Amino acid sequence: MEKKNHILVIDDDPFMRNMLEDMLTRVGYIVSLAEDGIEGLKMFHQHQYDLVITDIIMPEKEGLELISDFRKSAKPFKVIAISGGGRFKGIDYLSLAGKLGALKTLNKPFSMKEMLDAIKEALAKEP
Amino acid sequence: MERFMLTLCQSKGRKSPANAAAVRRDKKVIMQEPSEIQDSTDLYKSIFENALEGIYQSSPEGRYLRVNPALARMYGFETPEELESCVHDIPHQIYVDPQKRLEFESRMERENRVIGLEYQVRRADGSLLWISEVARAVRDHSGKLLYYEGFIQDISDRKKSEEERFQLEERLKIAQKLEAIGALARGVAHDFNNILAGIIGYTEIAMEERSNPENLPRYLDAILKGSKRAHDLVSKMLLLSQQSFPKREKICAMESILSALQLAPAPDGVQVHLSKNNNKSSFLFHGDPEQIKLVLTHLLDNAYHAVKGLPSANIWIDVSLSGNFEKGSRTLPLSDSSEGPLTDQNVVIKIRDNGAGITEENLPHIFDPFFTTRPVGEGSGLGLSVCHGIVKSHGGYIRVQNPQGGGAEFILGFSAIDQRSISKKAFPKESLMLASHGLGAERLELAAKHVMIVDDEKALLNILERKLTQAGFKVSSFDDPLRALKEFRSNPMTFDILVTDFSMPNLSGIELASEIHSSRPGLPTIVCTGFSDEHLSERIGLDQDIVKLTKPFDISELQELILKTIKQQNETAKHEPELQNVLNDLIENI
Repeated sequence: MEKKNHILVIDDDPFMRNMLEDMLTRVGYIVSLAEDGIEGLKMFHQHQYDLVITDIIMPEKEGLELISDFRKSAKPFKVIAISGGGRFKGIDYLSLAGKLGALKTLNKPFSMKEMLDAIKEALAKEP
Repeated sequence: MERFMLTLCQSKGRKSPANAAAVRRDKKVIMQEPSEIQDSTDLYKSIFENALEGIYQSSPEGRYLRVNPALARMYGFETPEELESCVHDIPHQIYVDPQKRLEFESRMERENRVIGLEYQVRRADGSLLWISEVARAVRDHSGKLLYYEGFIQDISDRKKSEEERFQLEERLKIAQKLEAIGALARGVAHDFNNILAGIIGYTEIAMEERSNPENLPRYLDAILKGSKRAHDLVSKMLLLSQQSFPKREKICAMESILSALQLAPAPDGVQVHLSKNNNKSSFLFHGDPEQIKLVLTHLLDNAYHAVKGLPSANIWIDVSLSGNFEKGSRTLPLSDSSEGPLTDQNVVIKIRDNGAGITEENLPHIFDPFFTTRPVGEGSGLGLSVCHGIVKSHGGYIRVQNPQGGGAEFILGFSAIDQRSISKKAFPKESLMLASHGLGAERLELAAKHVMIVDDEKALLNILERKLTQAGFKVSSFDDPLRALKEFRSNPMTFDILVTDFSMPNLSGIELASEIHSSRPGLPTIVCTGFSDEHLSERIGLDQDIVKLTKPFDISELQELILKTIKQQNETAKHEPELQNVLNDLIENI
């Protein structure tokens, strides 16, 4: 890997956050973690990330709102949205995230290959 | 028709409370010119004939004496005469439920009138009608019932819309229930998927890890933790469906709070203040230690969440005793039954935070199953409903309020174990022996247990109650097994033993015991019986928690058996006494 890509992971579940950190750092990515949408947005504005991976359903500020906030800022961004599904009936949050501009969407649980492929694919796309 | 109206007038003159006025009116009628009388009669006749309400007079024997066209139409007859001649047994031909007629008659007997009595009547064609009735009883001088007269209103439309509304509400309830179950299922699915994502992720990472094998234990540990979290989630679900029954052990509130604080430590910046109002007390109550810990960690987590990010984040935990054990001499309840049985006392745990509090709007719903203010939090979102279920199954209470000074306060209450009966330190040894009426000090621990006695023979029940109370037991006696069962169900954790007669009306002792064991398995039970029936012994033998006592027995025999039975049960779930003492000392030094 020539240049280390920097990825921001936003998930309210610490188990999930830590697992993604382990999964991504060991294949050479630099990983930063945020535990909710508010913290994630703050970090997004303060730093430059090559990719954001965000959970959709979170307390405080949930993922769809977060992606809308990214769009409002002039900064280019790439997002992968992940979700455990459920919670809200009849609404496919991931497809909404896709419409809002998430490059890839993944249902939890996902396999390592699915996640790493999605990251590669997203990084290869133009923001 | 004239005859009818005249009777009405005369009866008014006799019976009306406004007697003088009525008599004057009657006189006036009598003094009227024949043409005026005719006019007035025509007027009444017109009202009677054209009224939209049904009007009738009926005999005490159940025949119509006179009905108006509206009533005939209402009841499906062509003419008033047809209704009068066809119906000769009002209670059975007209009333759908003859019981209602009895109610009508008894109200007439007592009050001489009915107002707004609603019931269903059968029409000529067999169809049913809802009516509302206003009627009075007309009596002669001696009070003998002459006839009834009254007004009938068709209220079928109102009843129909009431019924529709009721059905609609029922359907709404079902829909809400399904919605709630759906929400629960989605919530659980969400949490499970999160946990699975972690477990699968770490498993795959571990499988691929070749260059840094020293990381493997960490990955495996994460997998284990995730699996435990999944297990917790299942346990909570089971608790919610009340599939699991709490264990019953002595729980020390302070100890429980400390281990909950270990499980859910305060995040950085949050100050936890722990206080208790009585240094001598160790705040013991009966319950399942794991479940109580679960409740406390939930409440702590909620409090942490409420104060998250505040510049000064504080949580106060306060433990106290409420009630009136303290009143009177400490040995009295054991030595002298005239003071009555021990009064209930509660171990009360309050957890307060200085967060934003709970909105008035949300306050009444806070313990509703599946109620949540957040789209998703950590955990399953089942928190408070699980807490509520646990506390309820322990016979305790959980309340929430926004105290003065802000924040939210959760209050837990559990029936305290009377420490005089278990803590020998609290008594001089001599008084213990005195108090026990010669029972050994060891047995004293078992006395002050709560005994439910059920026997339909009141005399025997009274003797048993008195004697057992004298011996130091807390006694609740019932002469009706159904009432006993009801009481037990509302407070399943407060009783330590059931003593019941075998043959009783409504519910036999065995049936009562098995009902009680279905909600509280393992409750020691003594069934007293005069029969040496093999069939009975066989049935008793099926339930290991039932001990048979053959009548006649004397009180000391029963007393011995109660102590023995409770002791056997206690033996199975007894704390290591030394460990308990060490813990008590530790807690007293906090």
